[in-house]
Amino acid sequence: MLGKLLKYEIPALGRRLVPLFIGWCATAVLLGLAVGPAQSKSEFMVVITGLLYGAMATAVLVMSVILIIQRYSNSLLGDEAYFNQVLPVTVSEHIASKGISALIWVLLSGVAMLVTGLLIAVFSGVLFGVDIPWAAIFRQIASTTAGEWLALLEFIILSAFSITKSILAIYAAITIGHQAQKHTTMASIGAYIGLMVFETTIGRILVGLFPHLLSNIESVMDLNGFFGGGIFVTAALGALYFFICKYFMENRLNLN
Amino acid sequence: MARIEINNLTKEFGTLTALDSVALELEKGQIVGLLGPNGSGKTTLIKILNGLLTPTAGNVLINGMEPGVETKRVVAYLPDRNALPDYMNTQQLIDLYQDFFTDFNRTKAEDMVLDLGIDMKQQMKRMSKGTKEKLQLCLVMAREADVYLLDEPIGGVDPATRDYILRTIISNYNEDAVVIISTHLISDIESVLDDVIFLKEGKVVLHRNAEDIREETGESVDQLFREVFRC
Amino acid sequence: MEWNFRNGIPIYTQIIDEMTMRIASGAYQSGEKLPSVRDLAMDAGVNPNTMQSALAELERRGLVFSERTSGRFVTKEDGVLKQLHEDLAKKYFEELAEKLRKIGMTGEEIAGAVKRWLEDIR
Repeated sequence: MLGKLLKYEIPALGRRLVPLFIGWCATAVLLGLAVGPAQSKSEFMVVITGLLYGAMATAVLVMSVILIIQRYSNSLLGDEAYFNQVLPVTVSEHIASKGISALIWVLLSGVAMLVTGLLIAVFSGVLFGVDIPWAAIFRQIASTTAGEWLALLEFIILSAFSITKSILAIYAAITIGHQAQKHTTMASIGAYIGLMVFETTIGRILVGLFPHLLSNIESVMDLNGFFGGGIFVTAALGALYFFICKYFMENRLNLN
Repeated sequence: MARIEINNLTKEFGTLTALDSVALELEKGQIVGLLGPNGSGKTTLIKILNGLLTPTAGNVLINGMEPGVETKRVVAYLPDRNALPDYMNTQQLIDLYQDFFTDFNRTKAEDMVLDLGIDMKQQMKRMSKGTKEKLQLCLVMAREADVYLLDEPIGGVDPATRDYILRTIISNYNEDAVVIISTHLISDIESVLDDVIFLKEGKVVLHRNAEDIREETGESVDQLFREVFRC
Repeated sequence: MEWNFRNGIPIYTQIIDEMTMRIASGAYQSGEKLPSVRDLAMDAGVNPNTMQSALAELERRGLVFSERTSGRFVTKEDGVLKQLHEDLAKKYFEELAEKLRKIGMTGEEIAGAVKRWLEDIR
């Protein structure tokens, strides 16, 4: 059933985000052309297209956050919940489908950012005439140690986990906030602040317990340990938020 | 085992008691009218049966189980509002139902949509309120469920559609299902009902066979309702 | 054929009366197959269980009979139909006679009047 939920959830977000991505790419092309090698380069056009590009980037960011919040609160706790919550699907599958598709679209936003960067480079022509030092790059890759590869892998995993954890923190705050019969938005914001305070406190305590982890990163081994610990803590927080959502939705759901 | 069993069910919202110690047993093979004025607890009861609200005390059982994934498989619910994603069109909504409900009869849904003149390609958000209601009803009634929970199915539709809806409910009737219709428009539906339940301020004040009421009181259910709920 | 139900009278009774009327008037012919319970219920806009028990009562009265696989039929027995006509005619006449007696007519006056009125109607 998770697959079926994703079949509808991923396009539901894409429907809103893909047009923004396309717009973002278009502004990147304009910016590239304005900056580019054109002889009649105009400062004014660079500023304007630069602002446009920045505005689109902000729009994508803001829209992603809004959609992540909306898709969760509307479909599972708002009007659409009157359909979604009567599907023969477990609460865990519901939360997972929201989280997975949100993660996918956050990652795709990252990809879109890279694409816009590439578009600016291509259309401005800065890539022309630049020699990419392929040989040096390959040498670097060849000389990378297993420990360094592990650190890189850990970093990627940690990033993915952090994004997922942050999404789940938003979900948990919304779910807790929904328990208030009135002013659910305020309650959700309050809950979110509470969760962030909790996270910071946990972070402080951990730093207090393992002071050498942060202050003395001298070798790759230290880095491996630091990232590894980070992954563990992030996963634990993510799991906690997931279970908060699950608990309230299974045992205390009250759609008004 | 009763299809639906409601035991000592109480639901409070803050200081308001929406349902007060409701106890009911509903057997399969009947169409039941859940009747009461606005705010009497009809929607609350239906939402609890769907697992959308958590009881304050007591419980409800469908086929002996509390609301959950198993009961959701066999319960077809028509909510009192539009709950379907409004950017989807009729065709996509039919696909959606088919994906999630194994008891969904696609042909039946398409026939009903055709009968009611609903456009297969029209987006939900471009439909009139009445058309949205009709489409939702088609999707719900095209399921071959054990329990149908219809919250105000004839509230906002014209008389011709109302007749079509009632005929749909009758034609869909089967000995294994129980259909619960909540409404305050009693005269329109009373000839379709087996049993009627009167809800007043969260309490069941009457649960009887509609024919018995007519026989013994010489009144229609509608007339009796007006007496019981006279202001 | 229209179904019209009146308030406060069991629908079951009203269905029996209406079906009896239809059989007597020949709307349903002797030996004709009746529509299914579901179709009749849909047509009348009534609960299928109520329609089912009304038909069962008609069956008990001998106006219809059912064959296990093929459904319900109007009786083919002339005797039953004849009796039905007579019963109905008598019932209607009794209603009429009661009203006429109420306005003070005697049996003889009624008999005489009936003859005269029949001529008029013709």
